[in-house]
Amino acid sequence: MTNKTKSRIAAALLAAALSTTALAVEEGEKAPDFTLPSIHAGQPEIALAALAGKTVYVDFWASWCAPCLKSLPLYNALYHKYKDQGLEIVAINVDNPVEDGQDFLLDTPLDFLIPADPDGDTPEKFEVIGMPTSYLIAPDGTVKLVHMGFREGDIELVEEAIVKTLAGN
Amino acid sequence: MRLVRTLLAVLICATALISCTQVRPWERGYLARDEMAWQADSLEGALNDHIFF
Repeated sequence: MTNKTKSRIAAALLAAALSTTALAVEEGEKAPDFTLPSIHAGQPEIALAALAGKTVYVDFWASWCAPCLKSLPLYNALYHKYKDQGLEIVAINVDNPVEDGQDFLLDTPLDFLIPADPDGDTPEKFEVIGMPTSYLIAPDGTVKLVHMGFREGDIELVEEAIVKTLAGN
Repeated sequence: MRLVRTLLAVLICATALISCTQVRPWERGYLARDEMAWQADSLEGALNDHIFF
């Protein structure tokens, strides 16, 4: 094989590797829009665009993700505390099959919006880098906070960011 | 002959590339399934470990 051929193959491999890496949504950027069906049968579709003007906390979760399950009841408490001030929580379930997520919700009822995305199109759009990942989106659509994982004490960080965004900062 | 060999190499590389896929973070539920475990039965696994080295 000539050197030219070798370098051509190397270039092709590099291009293939680069083409699979897209850019993740980061703080300060606009959040990508999505429209998804609710995980609960008979409930209306959930679209991010329809929540414009509100502070939206988008979270990606699945029933097999232990820290996600720990965070959801805490988010429910946050939702009740701040919903009158304009907070909306959208917890996108990525379970496939969807029934796994529905089973969890039977034991742990949650009051905020829960869309189902078993095909993973929305986490693909956000380029989610770990589970759980959540995005705090200001009323103008910019991402204020990207939070990956869920450890002890994280809920305080999230609450602080929510309070700041609700106050318009 | 040389061209055929190069083409073949490229084809093999291309096939290898498309057959590899990254498990994305939101797809890890598949890996969490019981049937994806190395050992289906943990008791049997423990016994096997005890008997065989």
